[in-house]
Order: sequence, then C-alpha cells, then structure tokens
Amino acid sequence: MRSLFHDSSQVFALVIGVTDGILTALTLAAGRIFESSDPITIGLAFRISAASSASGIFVFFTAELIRLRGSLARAERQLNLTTQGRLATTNLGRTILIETAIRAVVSSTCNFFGALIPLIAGAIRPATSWLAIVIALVLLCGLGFAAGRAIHGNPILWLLSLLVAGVVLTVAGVKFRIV
Amino acid sequence: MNIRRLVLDVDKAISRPTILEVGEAIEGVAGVEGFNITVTEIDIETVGMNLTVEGEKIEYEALVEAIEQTGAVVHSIDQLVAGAKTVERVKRER
Repeated sequence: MRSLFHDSSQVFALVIGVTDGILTALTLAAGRIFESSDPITIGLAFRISAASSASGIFVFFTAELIRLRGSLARAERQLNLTTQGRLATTNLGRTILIETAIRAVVSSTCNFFGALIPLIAGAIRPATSWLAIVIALVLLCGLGFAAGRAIHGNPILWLLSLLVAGVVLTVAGVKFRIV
Repeated sequence: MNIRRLVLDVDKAISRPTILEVGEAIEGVAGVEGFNITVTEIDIETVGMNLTVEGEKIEYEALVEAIEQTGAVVHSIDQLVAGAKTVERVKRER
C-alpha cells in the first residue's frame, strides 16, 4: 500500500480536512472569543471540533463519491460501453467505495484536529483566548504556503488567499456570534 | 472445444484498473498457462491492449468475466486457436 503522503488523493483529503476544520472553528468560535465574557472551554473546543468533523465526513464522502463515480461514467463513454453503470458493478465500483470511505475518515480526522488545535490553545489560557484565532490564522498561512509550493504555484498568493479567507470568516463569526 | 490460444482486443481506462490487476485476473482463469498483454494504443483517457492467452481448455466465458470484473472491456476476439493441436495462421499467397 502506498504511503499516505505519496498518494495525492490522500493529501487532497488531508488539506480539505484541515482547512475546513480551521475555518469552521474560526466561524463558530470567533464570536465567543471576541464578544463574550465567557472564555472558550476545553469541552467547547472538543464539541466544536466534533461537530466540524462530523459534518465534514458526510460532505467529503458525498463529494468524493460523486467525483469518482463521475470518472467511471466518463470512462464508460470513452470505452464505448452501451450499458450505463456497468463499470460500477465491477471491482472498480467496490474499490472506489472503499477508497472514498478511507479518504473521508482521513479528511474527517484532519478536520477534527484542524479545529481542535487552535481552540485548545485558546481554552488552555483563557486570558489570552485570542491566541486561538492567531494560531488558526498561522496554520492557514502555513497550509497555504505549503499548498502553493506543492502545486508549483505562488506560495505567497496562496498564503494570502487562505489568510484572507480566515479573516473574513473570523469577522463573520464575530458578527454571527454562533456559540 | 479445446481452446489453446485467444487473441483479444481489450481496452481499459488510463487510471484503473492497472495492467497488473488485469494480469492477476487472467492468471486465475482455468486453463490459462501463459499470457501476454501488449499496449497498442494510448488515448487521453483509455489504453488499448492486445491480449494473447495460451493454454489448454481455456474457459472463454470465465476469461472474459475475469477481465471485465477488473473494469477492463473485451471488445473483440481477434484470433482463436483450438483443437487437438495448435494450428498457426497461414497467409494466403496468389
């Protein structure tokens, strides 16, 4: 079996999971951090991370399965198969289902820790709970930079794009005050 | 019918199944003693292959089922050699 980091689709799941986790944490917790006198607790950090992870696993599973089944449908047309859905009944259908499930678990786990790490940092020291936002934004910057380098794009542009996304969702979180 | 050799036109999508997966499936079919998979054409999304299978009493239906279960597709039989002995193709000359 290929190692996790040599499989680009696993890296895709990992990046989506971490990014989604951080952005969800920012959206849900920013209001509490900046506008409330109640600091973030460790329990709340785990609850937000679990909610983000649970929602993420279904979203990722559905999107990935549709993407891979779509690739099978395209292959059927290229192979001039007259019966639609024929490839899905072969080993490929089962392989795709297993791969999707594994990637969804990887993505969901990364989602959980992507949300948990900054929130825990804010919960451990309530006096400086804004640290959660800083750590989340720094993680997003690091992720953006790494992604930019990995795809031979402009790392600074990627870093700034994810930073802007993080700031926008933080502002949205402060306005919405969800938790 | 004692099938001794089959030459098949087999296509598959670029990404999967791999040729090794197709080969493993063929190897498990009753009667197959050896085979050759040669890529004849690579398109943007498909790979065309020429498959030669030799053996004794090769089970054609099982062979096609095994290949297609991997996700590859058998398009046609390009050569069939069967009987008590192997008869090679003789080119007509006029």
